[in-house]
Order: sequence, then structure tokens, then C-alpha cells
Amino acid sequence: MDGCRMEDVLKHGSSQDVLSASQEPIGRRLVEAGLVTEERFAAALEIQRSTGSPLGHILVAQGWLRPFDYYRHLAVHHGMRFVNLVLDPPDSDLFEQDKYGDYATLLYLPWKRDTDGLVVAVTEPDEELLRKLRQQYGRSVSFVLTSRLDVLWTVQRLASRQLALDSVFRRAMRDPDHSAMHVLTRSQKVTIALMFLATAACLYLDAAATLAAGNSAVGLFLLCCLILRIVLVWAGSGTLYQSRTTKEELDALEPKTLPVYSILIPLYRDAAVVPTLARALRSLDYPKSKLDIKLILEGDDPETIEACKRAGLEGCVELIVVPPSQPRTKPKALNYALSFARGQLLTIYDAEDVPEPDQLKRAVLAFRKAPWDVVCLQARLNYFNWGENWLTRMFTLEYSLWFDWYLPGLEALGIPIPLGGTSNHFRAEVVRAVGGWDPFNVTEDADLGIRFTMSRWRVGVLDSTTYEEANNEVWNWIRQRSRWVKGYIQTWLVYMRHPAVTLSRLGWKGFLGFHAFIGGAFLGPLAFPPLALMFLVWLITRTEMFDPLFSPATLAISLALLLAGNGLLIYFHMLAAWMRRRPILVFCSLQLPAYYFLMSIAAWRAMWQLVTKPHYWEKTEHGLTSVSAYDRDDFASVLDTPGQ
Amino acid sequence: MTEMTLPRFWILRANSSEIGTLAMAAALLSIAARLPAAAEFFAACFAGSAFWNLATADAPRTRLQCGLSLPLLQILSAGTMLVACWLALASVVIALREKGWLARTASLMTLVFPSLLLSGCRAYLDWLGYPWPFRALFL
Repeated sequence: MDGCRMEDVLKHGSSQDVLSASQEPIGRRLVEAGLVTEERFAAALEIQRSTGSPLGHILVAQGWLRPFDYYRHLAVHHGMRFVNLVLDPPDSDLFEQDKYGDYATLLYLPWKRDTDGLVVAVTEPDEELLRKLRQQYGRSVSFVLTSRLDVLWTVQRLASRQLALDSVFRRAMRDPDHSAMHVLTRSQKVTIALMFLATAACLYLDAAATLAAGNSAVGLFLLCCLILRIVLVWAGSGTLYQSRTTKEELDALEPKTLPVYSILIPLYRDAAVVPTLARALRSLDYPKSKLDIKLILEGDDPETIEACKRAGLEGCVELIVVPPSQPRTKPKALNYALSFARGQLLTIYDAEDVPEPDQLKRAVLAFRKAPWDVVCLQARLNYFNWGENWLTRMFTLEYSLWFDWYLPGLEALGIPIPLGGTSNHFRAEVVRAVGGWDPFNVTEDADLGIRFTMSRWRVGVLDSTTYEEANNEVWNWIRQRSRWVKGYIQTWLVYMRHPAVTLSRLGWKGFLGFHAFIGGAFLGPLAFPPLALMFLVWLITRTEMFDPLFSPATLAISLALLLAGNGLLIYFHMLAAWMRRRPILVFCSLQLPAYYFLMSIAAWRAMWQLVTKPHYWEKTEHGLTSVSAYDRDDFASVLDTPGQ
Repeated sequence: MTEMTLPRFWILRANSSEIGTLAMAAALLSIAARLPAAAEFFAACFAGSAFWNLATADAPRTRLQCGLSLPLLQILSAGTMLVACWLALASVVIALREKGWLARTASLMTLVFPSLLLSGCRAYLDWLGYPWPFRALFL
């Protein structure tokens, strides 16, 4: 490296000559400086030929070059001054709080004002960006070069308060009627109070007739839910919705045409699963130079922050640290990180997730083939520790049916899809357009799925699986399920604030499907204990005490639900287990009624929490399993395909 | 090239799976219209196409159709009951193609469970003393 030239360059910024790059290629310069080996340089050139990414990005993303060294030499290459924003921070007066999104995604910062005018720090002397900045700040603006991490760190430091406020309240301020910030609106409170009064009055006047009417209504609703599930299984089993992308199409995908993909991974007290996460990310079959991975960490969780730093992650991974504030929810963390996401497509993974390596490519392909209004694709979720104990087997059965059969069925019928908490692939600009996630809703994913449909967008299902860690402890499972049920009730209440609006946006099919699928997901488990208890008491004692509650029609419905309903649901779970090639689970399906009992406990707990702690996010403990996704032979062959 | 998307309803995919769906719909309509011969014919077509497809490829819809076709044949008439018996035997043959007894039994279970369920429901209703709702069909 020419030391004298470096000194010159470091002293002066550049305005007009930024594009007059040195004739010596940057890669050769880095090799001569001893920062990159010849072998890695050759490998990077090979990747560059296939992906079209800048060589420096490839070297940094692969972890072959420190970002600081790259940007320092890039400055020399372009004859620009290099500044370290940590040692030489920008003037905070120049930092415009409402522009932090631009700074974070376009990667520039107004740095200083000198006698000649404003000096802006950029990370790439990209002609288009410089033209935009000259238009914005005037022709006299000059540029210095800095590191991408310096810009991100500085934006987080200077805009932390505004970022925190926006991540909590942006959605609620934009559309307060569809935010779960308030559990019930005034009109909902009045309606519920009137319903309670009316029920009490009816019970006083004729208790038997009131209970019989209530029993009939619940039976009828559950019958509708059952019919919907039968239709969903039928529709979802169609080949059209079971595979969108083929191996040949994937092989034909040109790496040059792949977009930048952002991956948001919220972590909280997840230090134990960071090594698995690092391996899963490294296994992704997607050019690393086109990955924009954000590990979203909480400021008061030093163990996980330390674990991430120790994991030796490549340059395509950035740490976003969210300052501690309420509500402490995953959607708030996602909103925070959304401001930094640079990808055209965006997905979310949980800390313990192990996605199939080609999932991102499949998503790209599926988006290309899908109509323009499909803005989100939900990948299938399943569990790698499915055989660990009874609970993980039941949980796996449930997920296999939900994600492999029900969700494709919802898509086929045009009913809103409640997204799962992870592996949702989005067109990034649409997520921003709808205001991100609702930080007050504890199933923000389900809410977002409904919101997309309300906004006339469509959600599809992606034929790729992400393997997660199934809860293997009963109490941990109940806590997680309580949160889900609470979130479903929140979501249902939010979209029932203006039923006419919801009906007009979703249409009759979507509206009824919303009630039967989202409503059924919490009303079924809530109704299960009293109905099961009644049945058991009757079976043992043959009492005639319940006869007034069952008219002939109600009795027929109840018998159909008890026999055909439960039987068919068990059968659907058997099919789902079989199609996942897990024959032992086919027999485990017979034990599902015991699992329903656990679901009911969680549902009643959720109801209680909705009243006492509506926005409380019960953290699910991960890393409890003794099974690793990579230990199992059946997963290893699928999952361990090395990425580029 | 611009990709043209047609409304889903009009994407008529005349593959064997859809033929099976049409046969099932026709069988159910024939039952509702009290046309025994037509119902038996379409139910047999539905079951036959499902098992034929399963013999060639194990797809979710095909296995579901096979599972549902057996109880449909069971409730119709003595003639279709005989077809159901033959198809139950075919289920055993199909299951035997799997590797290992666990997989074979599981495969068989996914094909005959609805049929077992129907028989269980009938036994339970008989025990309770309630009439069998499908007695009024053609049996």
C-alpha cells in the first residue's frame, strides 16, 4: 500500500473527483496490502461473475475481509477521505430525526459543515446516490467515505429515541382503529355489557331455555368451524397449492437476477441457540453478498449480544440493538429493525429456526410467478425435535395439519391467512406501506395477515419448510399457547370494531372464514371443557339433568361434532403426519383429545391474561431440547447444503 | 412476456384428481336426488379413480379421496359395500408396498380410518339406542 498517497487522501474530502477511481482494481489493491489471499480473491471473482455483486461486498459478506479495511481502501481507490464515525462523530445538529430511515437504508450521513459547505459521509460513491444528495443538499456538498457499520451504529445512537417511539406508536397513530393498543373500544365495551345484561335477564326469566339456546349457538358455530376445516383440507390438498416451484426452475435461477434479501431475526435471552442459528444462516443457499441479515437484540440482554459477537458471523450480518422500553414485544423489535432493512424482499426467522437452504430462492421464484398482488408468502413450519416426547409429537401433528393443509386451503378459498410467527416472506415496501407490525398485538403475525387481506393484498403459501424447536415442557407450552390464543382474541376484537368495514373489505367468504378460523381457534378450546365435562358426567351417570339443554336438532349437531367431528379431525392429522413421512405420528393422532385438554387450559389462561395483562408478551424459552436439527439423519441431508 | 392471471375458478385442470372431485360431487347430488343407481355408479367411479391414482402416485388429495371413498361406498348399498371390501383389500396391497411394518400399518390406517370411524359411530349410536342416520339411504 502506498502510505504517502493514503495520507494525502485521508486529509481531504472529495466533491467532483469521487467517480474518478484508480486504475488499479480494488481487489488487486487488497491482495497487495496482504488483506486478502490470492485464493480468496480468485474465489470472490468467481462469485462476482455469477452474482454481479461488487467484489468488496462479496469479500466482506463472506467474512474474508474486515469491513473497516474494505472501506478504508475503497476511499483510497476513489481518492476520497475516509472517516471513522466512532472516533470522529458527525455533528448532531446536522442529523435530521425524520430522515433516519433514509440514512439507514441508503447508507449516508451529513457529517460536518466546513467553510466550503456540507460534508456528507457515504459508504459507496455510487453515482445515483451522489446525484440525489447533490439535489438534496446543493452542488457545493462534498463527500467523505465511511464504513457501513459506522453509519448504522451512528443512526442507532442519534435516532434511538425517535426509532423507539416510531416502532411503538407509528402503527397506532396511522390507523388507531386497527391497533390493539386498546383491547376494547368504547362501543365494544357497551356491546359486551349489553350482551351480559341481556343474558342475565334471560337466565332470570327462563334459565333452561337460555342455556339451551346458548348450547345450540355454540354447537352451530363449532359445526360451521368443522365444515370449514373439512373444506380447507379438501382444497388445501390440491396439487395446485402444494407445490409452486420445481427443482428445474430453481436450478435455472440466475444468481445475477436475485434481489437483496433482508432477514430479520429477533433474539431475547437466546444465547443458547446462537450457534444453531449461525449454522442455519451459513447453510442458506443464497449469495451472501445479497443477504442483509439483522440480528435484533435487546439492550438489556448482554448474554445474547455477547454470544452473537462470539459467533464470528460474516459481514452480511448486522447487530441492531433495541433500547429497553415497553411494550417489550417481538413486533416492536421488528418495527425497529425494519427501518434498517435494505432488501427488496424481507423475511423473519426466529432464533431457533432452521429453514431449508433453498427457501429464499424458492420465495424469489414464487414471487416472480405470483400475481402482483401477492405480497407475502408463508413458508411451512414444522419441528426438528418432533419425536422428543408426547408433547412435541402432538405439537408436530398440529403444525403439520395447520401449515401443510389448512393454510393452502385458506389460500385456495381466498380466506385471510393468519401468518405464522416466522418464515413469512414479504415484499418489503408493502410492509412499510401498511405501517409494519402492531406492537400491542401479541400475535402480530396473524394480525398482519388479516391486514394484508383487508388492504386488498393477497397472502400465499410457500412450498418450503422451516424447522423449529417444539416446546417440550408442558408449562412452557401453555405459556406460549396462552399468548397465541390471547393474540387471536385481540386480532378478532380489532377487526370486529367495525364489522361492516371488515365485511366490505373481506367479502362474505373471507368474513365468514375469518370468524370460523380465527374465532374457532379460541372459541373451540374455550368451549371444550364444559362440553367434555357434560358428556363425561352423562356417560358415567346417565343423568337426565342435561336433557333440557338438548333439543333434537342440538342433540344431532352435538353427536355429529362428538363422533364425526373429532374423528375427522383425528383423520386429517393422520394424513398430515403421513404426508410428512412420519408413520409413528399417524398412531399418535389418536391421542389428540388429551392435547385438546391442554389447549383449553391455555385458552382460559389467555382469557384471564387478556383482562389482567393484555399486552404482556410471554417469552417462550428456547434451547430446552436435547435434539439438534443437524443430528438427525433425515434432516441433515436436506438442511446442510452449503451456501454460496 | 406478460404473465396473464385468470380467476382461479376458471382454471379447469382436467386431471384425474379433479375428475375424482366431480365424481364425488355427482355421487352426493345423486344421493340428495334419491337416484340410487347414479349414486352407486358415481361413488364407484370416485373410489376407483382415487385408488387408481394412489397406485401410481401418493399425493395428499389422492390419499384423502381414497380414505373418504370407502365410507361413502359403505353407506350406499350392498353392491357398493362389495366394492368397498375389494378396495379395502387394495388398501392392504398398497400399504404393503411401504418399507417396514410401522409404515405399512400407518399407510393402511390413513386409508381405512374413516371406514372404521363410520363403523364405530354406528356401533355407538346403536348402543345409545339412536337410529342410524344413513339407514334411510339405499341399504
